[in-house]
Amino acid sequence: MNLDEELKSALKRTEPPPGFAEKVMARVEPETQRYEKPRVIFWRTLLSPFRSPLVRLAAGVALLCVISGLFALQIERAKEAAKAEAAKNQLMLALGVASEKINIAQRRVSEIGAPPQPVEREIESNQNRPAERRRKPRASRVDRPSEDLLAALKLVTGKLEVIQRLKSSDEGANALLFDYQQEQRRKS
Amino acid sequence: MKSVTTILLRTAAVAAFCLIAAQANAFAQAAKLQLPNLEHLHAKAREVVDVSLDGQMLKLAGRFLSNDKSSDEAKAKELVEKLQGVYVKSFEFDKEGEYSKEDVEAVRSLLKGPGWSRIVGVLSKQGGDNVEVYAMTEGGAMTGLAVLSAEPKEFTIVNIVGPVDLERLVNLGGAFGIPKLDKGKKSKKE
Repeated sequence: MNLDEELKSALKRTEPPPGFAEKVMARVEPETQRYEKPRVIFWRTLLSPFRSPLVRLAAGVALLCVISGLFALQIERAKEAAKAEAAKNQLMLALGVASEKINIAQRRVSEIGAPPQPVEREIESNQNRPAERRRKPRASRVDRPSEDLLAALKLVTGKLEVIQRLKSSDEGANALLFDYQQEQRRKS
Repeated sequence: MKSVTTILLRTAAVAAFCLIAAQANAFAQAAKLQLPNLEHLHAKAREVVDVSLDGQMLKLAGRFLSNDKSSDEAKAKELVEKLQGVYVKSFEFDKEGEYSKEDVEAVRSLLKGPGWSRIVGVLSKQGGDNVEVYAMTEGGAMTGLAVLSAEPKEFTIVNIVGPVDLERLVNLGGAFGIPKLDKGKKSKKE
């Protein structure tokens, strides 16, 4: 047998045995998977700790705590705001009373030496009396400042007319209060 | 030895600081009147105004006062910025003679204490509208103010602790429904 024939018989096409392709594929697939990079999904990674029921429970409790904390904070803020609003109304009321009384004192001092004017004096003395509309129970003052404001505005409108008439009677009036202030300024 | 000296110096510094703080607090507290018990007037009064605002409450209230310079609240805010307390007790009665002279005297006696001086006193025999304004001064500066108003149907005590700007307080008059004092100088010009 010559060389050509030997080669032909050696390289002769032969059919593979049955199941050869399946066997090859069965070996190839695990090899390929070994080198293939695993696909990373962010949210899966993020939620991976929550697979454990204990972690889920802990997270739930923590969330509940945060929500209730925020709610409590909100309530606390609302309470503080209400307290501050009440304090503000009380402060305005207190300053109003203080201012009223000092104004009355100052007015009375300014009256000294002024010529007697019976009619106007009567009006003025009524004017100096505490404004009845302004005086309301304490609770209502705190709850309804807008009503107080309206009452005050009405009172001011009514009194302005009287004040205009009284302007002429206040000539040369300088309250001792201002003298005192000037003296204090001089001292300081 | 050095460490002992350091400790002594630090202790002395802390003690001095505490002393100064206590002294400042004492000045402030001196202007606060310890009012006598006026509970018996509560039942008789038609209306009672009882305001008690200490430094903390004033700060809290101050935060909620408007900053708008044209508003009355802004004026009040400027006024109360340095105050340490505002206390008001006012009783309004339906008829005359519901409070006694002893009640007035009890308050007045507090204002005869050291530091207090009467700056204005209006005593009316006919009308019975008596208003007295007292100031507590410390080193030339006003550290407290008290107003005692005894009218036939009204008895009011106002106590302001801290440096009071009287001019500002008087100017608030027009802002609360109370006619402000109209000075005579204007009418002279007219």
